Amino acid sequence: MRMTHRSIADSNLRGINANLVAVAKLQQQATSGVALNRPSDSPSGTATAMRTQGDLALNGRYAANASLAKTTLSSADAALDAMHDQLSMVRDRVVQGANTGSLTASGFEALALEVDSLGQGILAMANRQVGGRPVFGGTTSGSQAFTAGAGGVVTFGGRLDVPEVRVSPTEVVQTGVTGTSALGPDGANVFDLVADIASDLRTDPGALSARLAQLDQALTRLSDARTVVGVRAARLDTVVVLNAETELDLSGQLSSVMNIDQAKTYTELAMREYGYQAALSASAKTLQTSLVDYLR
Amino acid sequence: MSGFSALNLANSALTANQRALEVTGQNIANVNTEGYTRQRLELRAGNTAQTYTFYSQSDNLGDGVNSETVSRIRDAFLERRGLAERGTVASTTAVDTAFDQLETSFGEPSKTGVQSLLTATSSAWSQLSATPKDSAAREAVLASNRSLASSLNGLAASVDKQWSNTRGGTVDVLTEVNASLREVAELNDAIRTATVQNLNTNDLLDQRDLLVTKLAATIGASTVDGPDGTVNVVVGSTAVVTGNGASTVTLGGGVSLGAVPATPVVLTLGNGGPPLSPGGSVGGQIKVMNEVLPSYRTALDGVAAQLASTVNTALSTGFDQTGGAGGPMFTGTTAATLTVALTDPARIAAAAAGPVGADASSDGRLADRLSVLGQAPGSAETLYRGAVTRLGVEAGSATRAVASASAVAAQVDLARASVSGVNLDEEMTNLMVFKQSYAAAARLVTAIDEMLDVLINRTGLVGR
Repeated sequence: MRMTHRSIADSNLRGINANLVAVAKLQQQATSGVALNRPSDSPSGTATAMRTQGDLALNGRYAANASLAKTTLSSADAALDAMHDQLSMVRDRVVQGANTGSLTASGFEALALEVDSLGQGILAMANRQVGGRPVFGGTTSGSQAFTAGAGGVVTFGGRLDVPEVRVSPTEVVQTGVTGTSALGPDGANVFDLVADIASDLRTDPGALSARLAQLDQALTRLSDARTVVGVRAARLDTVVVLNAETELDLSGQLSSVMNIDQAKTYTELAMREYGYQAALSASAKTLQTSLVDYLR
Repeated sequence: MSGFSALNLANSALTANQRALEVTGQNIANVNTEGYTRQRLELRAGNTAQTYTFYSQSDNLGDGVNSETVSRIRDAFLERRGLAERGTVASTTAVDTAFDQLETSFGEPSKTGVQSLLTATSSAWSQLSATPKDSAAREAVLASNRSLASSLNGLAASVDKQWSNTRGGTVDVLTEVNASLREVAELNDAIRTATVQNLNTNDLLDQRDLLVTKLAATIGASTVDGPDGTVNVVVGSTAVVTGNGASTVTLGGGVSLGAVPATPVVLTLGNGGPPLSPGGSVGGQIKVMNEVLPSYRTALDGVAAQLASTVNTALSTGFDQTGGAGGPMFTGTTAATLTVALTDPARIAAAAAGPVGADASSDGRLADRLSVLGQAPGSAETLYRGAVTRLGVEAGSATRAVASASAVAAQVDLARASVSGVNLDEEMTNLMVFKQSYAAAARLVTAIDEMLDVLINRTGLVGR
């Protein structure tokens, strides 16, 4: 084949340019640490990266949701514990009132006042809020789970369904328990019982011993509710751990798609730079010489 | 044969070698000129008696050397291949550049693209589902949906802008193309006149070849030889230059991206004449305007429509913070027109359950359902990811098409250069050869001169 200096120069230029383009791309990858800059770098990798980035962001959201749910459940647990304690104290007063025949009317009145105030304490606990929401009020928009109506009768003012929070792509956890399941249905709830006991202390101490069975039933309901809350909180703990593991997995997956393999990139960069230099030096040699140098 | 005819012979040799040196000089001078074809002086031994008759006799050795023709050394087949490959390179490059720009507009994968905003929206819905009474969470849902909508608007606008820029650029290129077509016709005319008068047309031919090469790259033109050294320029199967008559080409069809599916962009002969099927960069741009950009615009519209319909449908089944039925989040069903219609954060339907009496439900189940909408098959997110993956695949193959077309074109160019290109070594050798030959011819003149000197000055002197 007949060669010309022009075509040698052109093909040298093409070769040098091809090497330089490769060097520039590798250098960009090495300095940014990112291998995936545009969809055409790896179409399937791009899809994976986009999905993984989304999953990662949502996973972070689920962790925040779980921590919020945990707060609500802890609060419910503490409230149930306090109510249990207060109701136990009511039980103590009932036992005292039923067994002590020597109590005077003012003694009974003192016990009744104490029971009244314990009832107020239980009501305060039952209306405990987290983030403006009554913990035992279900999905009510109001701020009270239980409200004292006319004549001091306390009724449930919330809603029966319990709020739910998503803690993983496949799992939702209920945050809390319904007020009626922990404190009894309207007309036969803890507050009615406490009010009855106070009235018995004042007017009919003989009826007190019959209240003990009812009190035990109410205490059992509170314990059961606490168990439910505890189980949900324990489930959340597991979910939080799983969530952290998922985050690690996803980050690893994202990094394997998005980021460069350092060793591979640097080796390739070194090779390409070597090729570039070889192309430059070869061009310098071939383009230098021609017959002009030797003719006089 | 006389001594004077030998002088004539020497003279023709001197002239021939001098011309050969001139041609060599022309070659050297144009070693780097684009489109230059190397030339060669055709030498032919001169003879006096060309016709022989009965009893005629000639003792003539010939009368030196003829050196009238300077020919261009080219391979018509390679020239045609070169034109075709140039057209392919230009066309694939136009498509690749468009994909490149489209990839930049989409800007995936990133932390700022539409995908990240879709995720942010899901995240905001999930937050709202956990805290339905929190007005900050409601505002966050509105804000994230607004930025999602405006990002889709922006993406659609940049695709539209790319389309109109492409059309504007193509119209500019066609102005140049029409000028070139006219020039080719003028050169055809000049070449015909020169050929008829038997003048050297090589430089005119080179100029015309250069123009034709440019036309091949811009509109994928090819040539058909006509009479008297003229060429006809052909696009597809329609002649745009015939002899000294040039037609014009104009861009017809839709003038905006929205009009394209109904009226595709087309290159026509004259103003609104029959459609041509151009190659080259214009052919590539027309493909970009008719196929590439509309298909991604349609994909974006699909994402916007799916987003609007799924979100609005879900919201219509729920209840807002006041217990009222949920209103639609979006109006508009295309990527350019998608807007967030809701302005009051309290009117976002986060609850799946209706109010009981005056007590609106504060459950976040609907918000939760909206937060996982993207994971369902056929969701807006899935459609968008599909579009980006397709973009990646098509952009990659467009780049590879350019690489392979360029490689083929480089090979053809090399083959063409190996026939038509100027090799300095060769020209140097020729320089030397012709210089020596010139010296030899000059020596011949000296020899004849001395011979005549002997004859005139030294003879007839006997006895003087």
